[in-house]
Amino acid sequence: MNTLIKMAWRNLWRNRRRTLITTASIVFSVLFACFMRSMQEGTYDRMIDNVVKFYSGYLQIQHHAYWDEKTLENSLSEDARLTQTIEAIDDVLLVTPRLESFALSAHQDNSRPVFVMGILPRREERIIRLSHKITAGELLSDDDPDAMISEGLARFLKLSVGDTLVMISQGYHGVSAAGKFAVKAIFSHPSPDLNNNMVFLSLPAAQNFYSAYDRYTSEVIMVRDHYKVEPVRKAIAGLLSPDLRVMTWDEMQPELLNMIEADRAGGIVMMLILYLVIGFGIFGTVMMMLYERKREFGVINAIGMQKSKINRMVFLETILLGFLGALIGILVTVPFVFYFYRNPIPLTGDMAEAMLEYGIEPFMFFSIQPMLFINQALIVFILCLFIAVLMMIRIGRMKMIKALRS
Amino acid sequence: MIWSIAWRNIWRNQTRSIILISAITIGLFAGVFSTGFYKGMADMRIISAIKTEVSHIQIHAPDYLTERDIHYYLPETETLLQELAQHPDIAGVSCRLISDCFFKAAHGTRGVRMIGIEPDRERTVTDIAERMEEGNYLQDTGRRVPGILIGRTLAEKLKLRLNSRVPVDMVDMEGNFSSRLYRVVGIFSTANSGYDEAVVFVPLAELRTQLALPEEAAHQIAIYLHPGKDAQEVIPAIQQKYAHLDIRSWRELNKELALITDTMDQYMYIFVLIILLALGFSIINTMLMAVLERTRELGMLMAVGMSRWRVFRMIILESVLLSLCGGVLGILIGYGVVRMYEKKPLIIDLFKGFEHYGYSSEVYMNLPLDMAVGIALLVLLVAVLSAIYPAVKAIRLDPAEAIRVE
Repeated sequence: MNTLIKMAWRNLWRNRRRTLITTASIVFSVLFACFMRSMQEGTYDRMIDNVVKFYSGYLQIQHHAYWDEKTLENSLSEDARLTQTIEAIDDVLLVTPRLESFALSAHQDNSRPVFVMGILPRREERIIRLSHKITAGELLSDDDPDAMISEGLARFLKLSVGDTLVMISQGYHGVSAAGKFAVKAIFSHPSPDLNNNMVFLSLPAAQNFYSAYDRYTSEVIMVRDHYKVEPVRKAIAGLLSPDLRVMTWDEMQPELLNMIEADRAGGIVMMLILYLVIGFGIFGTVMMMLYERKREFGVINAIGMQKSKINRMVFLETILLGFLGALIGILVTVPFVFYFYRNPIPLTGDMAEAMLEYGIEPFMFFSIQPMLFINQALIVFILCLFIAVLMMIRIGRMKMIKALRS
Repeated sequence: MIWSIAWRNIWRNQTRSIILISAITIGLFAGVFSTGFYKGMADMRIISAIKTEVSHIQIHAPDYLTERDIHYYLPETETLLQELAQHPDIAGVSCRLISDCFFKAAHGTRGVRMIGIEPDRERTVTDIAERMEEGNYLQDTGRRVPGILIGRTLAEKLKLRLNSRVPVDMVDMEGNFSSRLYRVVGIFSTANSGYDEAVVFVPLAELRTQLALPEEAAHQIAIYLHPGKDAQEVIPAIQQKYAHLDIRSWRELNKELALITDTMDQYMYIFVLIILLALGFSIINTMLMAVLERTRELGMLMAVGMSRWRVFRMIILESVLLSLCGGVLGILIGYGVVRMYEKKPLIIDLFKGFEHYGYSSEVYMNLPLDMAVGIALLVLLVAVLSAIYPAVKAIRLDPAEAIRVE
């Protein structure tokens, strides 16, 4: 076997130029595919991260009817034991109650519908780091009577820290809700939608406002990253009583997930097209190698090398060629992708504004999921495998006596 | 002469040429198909966004767009509307009132953007009237409970049906809290499910009453142009006449649309270029083989008096003919498929994920002829560039030595 690898390797370098060009073509496509996919996944990760961190959380425990009918009537009451059990599950970083609803906010002559979220800001701070988003004022305490509002809302209602925000809504069991809140902080939210209409209250203040004492709409669970969601969901699902349900971020954000899947599919199709083209290139090269060496095959067969061994040698040549390209491609990409992962590329102009409209920060983000790169090598490997099989069929059909005379 | 020599040279090694031609055909077919697909998708987005969402031109009071303050309205719009309607390029004008309000449905609350329209005038500007899925379009006639049009997505999320009654809260011009009951008379569905969730329509007069605005007040005037007229050309004349108003084209109003129109073609050219680059490696390899195996013959040609420049042209010509064979074939097949799906849409279920963002999953493809020609020119360019290295290799041969090569 060792000799065979050596032979295959040397055969590759008998025509250095051709092997280099073919390798370069594989390097090129692996490079391009790695970059494109890494950028795609990096952007998705960022979008998911934003929506999960500052909106839904990775998982939520809710009343089983809440998702279909988001009213305070379908809220939960506290269950400290359940919270503790969930906190003990691996990879769970935070379990925290929230009360979410809508309200009409006003200040002087201006009004705007807002999304109200009652949270325990200090408890969440460790994971969510809301304080990093604050542009004026300071973070609410866990039983603060004041409010924290988003930048867009503050601009629209002409509110600054210290002013009073008025909110009107419908509370628990249809009671009408009305309240006055001093603005303690202004924050900028990464999603433009939410940046225009979001109000954070402390959980007790929100419960008070909606007359939903000791109740909350969801228990939000944060895990390490979105790749850990599924195992945690399974673990939680076993613990819940039938009137509760656990939902994952993608169930709560189907639009986002669907868009990501459609976009990803588009990227993968483009990538496969590229590999198809490259595949023909490899095919052509290996084919030429075979064609030139017809006589040589005849000779080595005549002096005793079995066809099966020749087959294995050609197989190794093809795989080595592909592997070399994939390896160099990945080795060249990885440092760049790592660098850009740490330092996302800022975007400007119309592109930046359009991205903001979609709720993505105007940066090019990269992902360093190892699977992305391994997949490229895998695709090249499968491609080469396929080509190698074609070649072996050709060798099988070769009449060695004829080949010897050619 | 040189043409027919080049052509015959290509067919001396049929297998090799056919592999390369198939690679180019498939690569370009994929390139042209994707271009037609994405371009069709983008065009549809622009057309539907103009038709249902933004129109060609919108007029607001100064600062309205940045502040979204209901106090920044256009007074006495009737004469303005009539004057605008006289403009030869303008097909329709309509005025609107806009209020971000609080929607208190029985099965959930949320903030929506309420647009007050004059039903008949609105028909000349947007196609909401044709987008009704259930119930009827708005009518002016005063009912005790005014009608409201809601989108399909909103109807589903809040479990609203025809004839459902919804109280809607907002703060009026004087800063008073105002709540009013509306009855769902129609449910619409546009290509943009995100829009369907965020926007509702009521008769202008009803919203005016609720906001306590004076007669003829409007927050927005939308203008639809006759086919073929360009907003950028119409605006200066209107702006001159009404210097104090904020007049903007759809491109300025929606950055995403501007970005699509400006960069879609570039993106697709880049994608095709990447495929062509990948193909370029194969072309270089094939041409290099073609030169190296003909060392003796090329030396002979030069020895009997063929000029180096002529040899150079012959090699380039071989590469061009070879690439154009595949290129033209690929482009023609691709173009044919695009034409097939020009009138009848290609439906890709996976792409439903884009519908929330305004992109339909039923795509009518579109590929302008000049783009197909552009792609063909790119093929030509890549064919010439890829052949330069092999051709230089050929003319560097020393005829005296080359003829002696076995």
